[in-house]
Parts: sequence; structure tokens; C-alpha cells
Amino acid sequence: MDIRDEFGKRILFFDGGMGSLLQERGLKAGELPEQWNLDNPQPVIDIHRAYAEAGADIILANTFGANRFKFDNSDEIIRAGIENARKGIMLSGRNAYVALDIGPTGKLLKPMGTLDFEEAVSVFADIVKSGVKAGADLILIETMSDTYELKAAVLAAKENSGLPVIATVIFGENGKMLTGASPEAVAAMLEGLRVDALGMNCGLGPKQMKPVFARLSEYASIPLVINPNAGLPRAEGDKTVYDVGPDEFAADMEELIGMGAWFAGGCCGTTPEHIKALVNRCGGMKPLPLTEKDHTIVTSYSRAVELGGAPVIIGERINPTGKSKFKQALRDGNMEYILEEGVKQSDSGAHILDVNVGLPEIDEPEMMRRTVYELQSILPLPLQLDTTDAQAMEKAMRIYNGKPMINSVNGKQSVMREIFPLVQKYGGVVVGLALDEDGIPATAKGRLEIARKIYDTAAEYGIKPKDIVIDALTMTMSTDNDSANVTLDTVRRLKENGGRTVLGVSNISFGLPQRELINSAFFTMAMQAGLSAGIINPNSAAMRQAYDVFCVLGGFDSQCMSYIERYASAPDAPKAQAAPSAPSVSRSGTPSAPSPSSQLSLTDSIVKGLKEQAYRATQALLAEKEPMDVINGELVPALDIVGKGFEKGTLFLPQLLMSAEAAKAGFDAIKEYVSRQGTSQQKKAAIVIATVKGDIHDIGKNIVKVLLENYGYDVIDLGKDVSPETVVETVVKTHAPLVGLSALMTTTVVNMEETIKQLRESCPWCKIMVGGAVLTQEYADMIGADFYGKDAMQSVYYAEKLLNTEK
Amino acid sequence: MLIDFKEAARYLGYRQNEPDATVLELMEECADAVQKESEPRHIYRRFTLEVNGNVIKAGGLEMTSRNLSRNLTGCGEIIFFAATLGNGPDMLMNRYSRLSISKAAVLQAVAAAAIEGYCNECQRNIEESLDAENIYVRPRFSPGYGDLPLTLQPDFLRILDAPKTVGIYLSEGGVMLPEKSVTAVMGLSRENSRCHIDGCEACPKTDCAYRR
Repeated sequence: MDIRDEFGKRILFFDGGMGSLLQERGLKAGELPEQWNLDNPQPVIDIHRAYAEAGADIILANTFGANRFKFDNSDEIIRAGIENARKGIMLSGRNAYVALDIGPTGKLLKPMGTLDFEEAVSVFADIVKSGVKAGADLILIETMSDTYELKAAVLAAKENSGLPVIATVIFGENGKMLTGASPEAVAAMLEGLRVDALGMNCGLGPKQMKPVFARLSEYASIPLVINPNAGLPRAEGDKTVYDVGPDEFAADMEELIGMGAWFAGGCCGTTPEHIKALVNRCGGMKPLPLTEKDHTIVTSYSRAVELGGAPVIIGERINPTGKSKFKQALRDGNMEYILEEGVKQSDSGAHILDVNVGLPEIDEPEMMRRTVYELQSILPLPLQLDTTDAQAMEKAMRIYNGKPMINSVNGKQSVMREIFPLVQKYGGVVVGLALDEDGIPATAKGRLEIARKIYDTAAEYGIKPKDIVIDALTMTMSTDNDSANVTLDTVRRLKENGGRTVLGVSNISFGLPQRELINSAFFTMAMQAGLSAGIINPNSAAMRQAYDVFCVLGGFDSQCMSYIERYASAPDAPKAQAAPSAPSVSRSGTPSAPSPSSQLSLTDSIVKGLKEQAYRATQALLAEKEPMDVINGELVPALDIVGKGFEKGTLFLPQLLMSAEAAKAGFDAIKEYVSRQGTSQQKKAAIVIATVKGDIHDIGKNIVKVLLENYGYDVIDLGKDVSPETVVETVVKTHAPLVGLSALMTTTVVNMEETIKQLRESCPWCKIMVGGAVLTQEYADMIGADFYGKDAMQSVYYAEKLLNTEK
Repeated sequence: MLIDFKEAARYLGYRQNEPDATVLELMEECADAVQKESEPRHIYRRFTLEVNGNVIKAGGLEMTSRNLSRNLTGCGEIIFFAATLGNGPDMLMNRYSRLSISKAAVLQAVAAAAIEGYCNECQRNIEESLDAENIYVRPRFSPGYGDLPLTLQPDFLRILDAPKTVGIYLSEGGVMLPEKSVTAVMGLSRENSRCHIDGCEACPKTDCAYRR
């Protein structure tokens, strides 16, 4: 019998803790409990039996950590685990389901950790395949602390089995997962991934779970699970104990079931007695009927943004349309340019970022995948994946950490049939454009009809109306006097029917002068009509003001706090100048009036670490001098002054780096000048740099990179956690004369040594310099490096000595 | 969470010198960001302790260290401790490591000072909670200090169930993730004889630019 047939007919009971019971039976600290499935199965079977006798409906096989990182024979361990559970159930004489129990891998996923997402999927896939083969009835993914790992596990379960999948996570007392996700974020993502039930386990006792569970049940529309610990852990001597006894546990659980749990059981510290008391007390309770929660939620790993309340700002700037520099960045694979566009919009208050990297001449699916990966590595904002390429869309949806917005489908059958299956698999909130095979309807009525068609087709894929946001379509005012009225009317009527809406706002003013005047007023009107989200340029002060003012007047800004914070000191403190991290001038585009400080010489600008001034001073110099003269006569001497000051101890690392950034702005100006002239700049030799395998801190290496680049070297940066093989391969390919290796820990210096060994064998021509917190001259000699750079400037001097004299 | 700017400046190589106004401003901006993005958390467990010469036994673990055994002289119990600022500061550092290296360097120094400050705060709380028992807490001692090997890190994290309880993981290279994380032991004794071997002073790398 499929357990899903029993969902909602009665409360289904999970079993309780396993680890501590095995310890009572002799499992030692540090010993892997799953090993006992093979080596010492009797205690495992006894515990399963005791839980089945206590009345548990679902017995978790002892497979929590049975992954290939911990076991070479995980398949066998899992097979034995499922068999032991079956035996225990059989001996109890009762009926119960056997769940393949899947816990976290124990490794942290990239970008915060080292485990690749697809590798995580494959680790979980192995477990699932073994579990299916061994005859598990369902899959429980539990004790997850990270939404990304959770997503990997759910995908693996769905892709490799047809079994019911239940997923539960750990929330702390602050109501969040360790990586920051809230209950609504978890519910949104897991519902999107179409698990059969979701919930929480471990971390807290039943009492502490109540407020968090309440929040979960406020947002989840699917069955809920609650598997608490027997209270909070407490140390007693050398042991960890849990204080909530069976009766108290059962009483608390009764309340939680009353709040809507369909599944109840225990985690750490709970015993067969707890489960028995729970079943006795709550076995007769009726599961509360499911209700559809009408929340439209987009999430990142740590944020949940709801559409339908206060209007939401979707930043439109990551898009090459009409931007030649952006296009060039895409062609060059210049990810920093794109990331900076993201950071600027985030700083300006965007809630969600639209991501469009479509350009005919690039590999869009790969660029989309990379951009999403990189953006979610540096920003916590949810993303709106914007592409017409279904392959690019799938790649992006797959590696996205959370529930994304999908931009877009429209009323055309072909488009919906291509995109909705992806949403069915990965989850997402879909933008539906109110147009179809016949074009864009001129009336609100026509657009509403298309919206209806989109809702209906989505329903065929199990996609609920709350996960559809209709783009009512902004048409240009200059071609049709009624454009705004039709669009606003469409928004209004969708809103009246409980729908969510979005608009790309700025199209309204196409072809008109002073576009921001029109855009900001139209944005206000649309919000007043009930717009859920505007796709706008959040860096535009006018749009931002329209938004902030609307939030005050619309009652969305409680006690006007946001408004006050933003505008109380606004007139005399223009924001853009304050931060040294302010976007570099090379991209700001708009020429500003020269301020007194712009009179600074290039040398002074660099020494003082002033980016904008350095950029402008370089531009000015280029009007009268050749680029090479500017470089050799000004830029490099200025860098030398700073370098010397750093060496003498009159000037310190932050200043050295600010100067390096100022110099870089100068070089940017030269690069732009040279490319306008149609010539290309000569680079010095290639230098390969990397942080060695096992080490994932790379600020030091990045500092060296910036400095070497300023001295004109073609730096090939392999990043962090780089294997010896990758370094060797790159040096062979580029025939680089110099390699720089960085290591931070004594434990990773061995990998540095190995890299040097392999380089010596395959690349005898190449010199090797090393650096990093833990290194000393002695260490460097010991592992056979050619040079030890005690700081970043030393590596520049070494490169200059080595490569400039060789010429 | 207190962030000691002097300490942060030391990490940036200032030794006894004062950062100038521009750098101070950047430090303040970075400190705000670190405060905002941190989710500090910690865990500790208390065990009985056995010290025989240089061999230290506690929590089912056997460690050999001359420096630590000296630090633990007269202690009957030991606390295993771990603390982290969470993933937020890592994301900040990732962000600016790509976009502004000066800010990344300052962030990293400020975050390092922040985790130290947080550990001190935790330690003070532990000390206060043990006041009633008339128990004194020795200074923290971490794997990697003196001759206490870094290879103990996996055991420390396992004893505290750190991935699950506080979200601290270990990379294959033995690096803790999130970056701003600390593990340590603290001896507990009934005598108030504080042993002053601590941090820099216990470290053999005497030519270090960051030495106090």
C-alpha cells in the first residue's frame, strides 16, 4: 500500500531517536552508527521493533549518514538498514512503513563550502537508488540545515525514485535555519519541488517548536511533519541528556497536531516510551483539513520576498539590451561587471534582481548558469531568471538556491508547454505576459482573457494561481494615447480578482524626453492600481522616490520609518560619494561637474587612493600624452611610491590596496582610450596564481592579483581550492614563466608542496613563488619554492626582477 | 558583539600605528556590515579532564601537547567550545574580494576582530555561569596554538556536533567554514591561578607581522 493513500485519514506516527539508544547499547563516540547494520544488527533490529510495538507507523531505517563520503559500501549498509527495519517491524507483529532515512552529507556546499551542487545531487542519488533497490516505502530527508543541500537531496530523490518524499529541516529558536532560511522560505521552496510533506525536526523540543511550526503552517499548503527532540539538550557529567519525559512530550505534541501536523514523531532524546505515550494520547486525533495558503513567495537561500502586499522592486539592470558595455562584458566573460550591476541595485534597495544575459554570439545556457551561481555567491537577493532559451532556463533553475521568479511565459501554447514542466519540477513563481499568438490585445478585457488561459494551462501542471504573476504589459505612450489606461485597467482588474501583477515600467516613456518624469509617475499610478511588482531601475532616484513615497502614503511603511531613514539627511548627503567601494567611474557614464579635488595630479590621486580622480586625471593626460608615456611616466612611478611607503612602514595594507584600485581606474581609462583607437595594449608575461587545494580563503591571493595586474602582468587566476593537476595543466598550456601559490593553513601546505613537485616535473621552466599566513622562508625552502613573498609587494618585486630583466 | 578596532588594525599590519581617517571610515563601514550580516552562535560542552604529563584525556579524546597541558595545570574539567559568525561575513568577503579588494581586506580584519570579540563575550558568560560553583576558567586554547595540532579540529567539531549545532564544517584541507569560526578548549579549575600563555605568546612564529 502506498502511504500517500493514508495521508490525512489519520495521524501517521514516526519513530524516535536512534543514536542515543545505540550508544546505550555500546556504540562508541565517533563510531558510525550505520556500520552496525552489518556488524551488529541485533540491537538495531531491537530498537526498530520497540518503536513498531510502541505504535510507530513509519520506521526510519538506520541509514541517516550512509553516504559515499562515509562508507565505501554504502549500498550494502543501506540494504542491510532497510532489511533490519523490516525485521524489526515483522517481529513486532504490526504493520509499518520503512523509510529510507537521508541526513546531510556533512559537507558544506559551494559557494560557502567546497561541495559542488551536482556532486551533492549525485551523492544523494546513490543513496536513493540503493534505498529503492532495497525496497524502502518512502524517503525521509531530514535534519537539513542548508536549503541548497536540501534541494540537492529532494532532486535526487525525485529523479531516482517514484517513492513519496518527505523533507524536514532544523530551525533554531530564532525561527531560522542555520543558513538563514525562514519557515516561509522553506515551505515555498519545498512545495515548489513538490515534496509530499514537509516539516521540522531536531534542534528544538516540542515547546520551542510551537511558534516556528505556527509560522510553517501559516504558509504551507501541503501536509506537515513535526519530529522534535525530547526538549533542549543539557549536559550531565560527560553526557548529553534531554529532560522532556514521555507524558509531557505527548501533551505538547497534542497541541502541535492540533495546529495542523499530519505526521508526528521524535528525534534526539526520544525513546519508544515517548512514541508510545504520543500514540496513546494522539492516535485518535483527526488531521486538520489542508487549506490553500494564498502567499506568492520568491526565495533565495536566506530571504523570502512576498508579492501581493507592499509593492516589490525588481531590479532591471542585469540585461544587455541597449548597453554596449554590458554586451562587451558578456563577450569577455567579465563577471565582475555583472556582479557590480547586482551589488549596485542591491545597495539601492532592490528586492529581487532580474537576470538576463542573452546575446546571440555567446553560450547563453552556460552564461546564465554561471551568472546565477556567481550572483547567489555574493548577494542574498532572490533572482528573476529572464531568458527565452529553455535550456538556459533549466540550467539556471536547477542550480538556483531557493524558489526563483521565472521570466517568462505568455499565452502562446508552445512557450507554456516548454516552461511549465520546468516549473513543475523545480518550482518557481512564473511571470505570464498578457500576449499570445495573435499579439498584444489592445484592451484590458483581451489581456485578462490571455491571463485566464495562462492560469488554466498552468493548472494542468499543478501550478497554482498564487505562483503566477501576470505582466499586464506596458506599451509606449508615444504611439497610443490609451496605453497607460489599458495597462492600469488590466492591473486593477487582475488585482480585484486576487491576481498578482508585474510591469516593466520604463517602456511607457519610450521616445519621449525626460523619461524619468513619465516613468516615476506611471510607476506611482500602477502601484495605486494594485501592482505587485515593478521591474525598474532602482538606481534611479526618481523611481526610488516614487516608490518610497507610495509606500508611505499607501500605508506600507510602518510609522514612515523607512522613509525617515532614507530621506531625513538626504539633501545634503549625496550617497554615492561616501563609500570607497562606490561603483567605479569607468561605468558610471554620466559626466559630473569637476569638483576641486579633480584637479589632483594622477600621482597624487593614486597615492591618496582616489579612484574617480585617478580615472579623470588619466583621461586628461591622455589628451596630451601617449598611453605608454602615461603608464611609464605616471602610473607606475605612483605605484612605486606607494609600494616603497608600504615597505618602509609609513603606509599600510588598506592604503596600498586603495592606491592599487585607483591605479586600476587609471588603467581602465587607458584601456578604453586604446580600444577607441583600435589598437590593443601589450601585456607583460603571464603569471598563474592559485590558492592551493583544500584552502578556500583567497583574499591574500586576490591582493597579489590586483597588484600584479597593475604592473601589467597577464594574471591567470585559477581561484581557490585548486588541485595540483589544474595548476600544472594551466602552466603547460600557457607556458607561464611564473606561478604564485597561496596557502593559509599548515594542513594545506602539503598540497602546496605537492603542487610544486608536480610543477617541477612537468614545467621545469617555471619559477614558483609562495605566500600566505602560515608560510615562512624556512617553510618555503623546505617545500622547494623559488621565492617566499612575505607580503604582496614582495611578489611584485620578484616578478619584476625575474621577468623584466629576462626581456 | 564588540569589535576592537585596534585588534583589526593589527590584523591589517598597522602594528603600533593608527589608521588614517579614510581607513578608519572604511573600517567603520565594514564593521557595520559585519554586525549586520553576522549571526553569531556558539556551543560548548563540559567534560572531566585527566592530564598525565603531556597527555590530555577528555571527552573520549586523547591529545598530546606540552603547551596545553601546562595551560591546564590544576584543572579537573575542561570545556570544548566552538563559535562562529555564520555565513554572512563570508558572503560579504566573497562580494568585495571580487569588486573592491581594499574593502575585502578590511572586512576580513574587522570580521576577525569580531569573532574574537564574540568569543570573549561567550567566555565571560561562561565564567559568570560558573561563578556560583567557585570554578575559574582558563584562557581559550585552540588547535594550532603552540604544539596543539590542527589535526584535532575534526574531533573538536565532532564532540560538539558542530555542523548541526552551530553550522561549522571542515573542508578537506582542514579549514573551518564559515571562515570566521573558532574552536577552543578552556580549562576549569578551583584555583584562581590564571595561566597566561595565550594567543600570540604561545605561538612559535616569532617573526609574524601580526604578533602582539
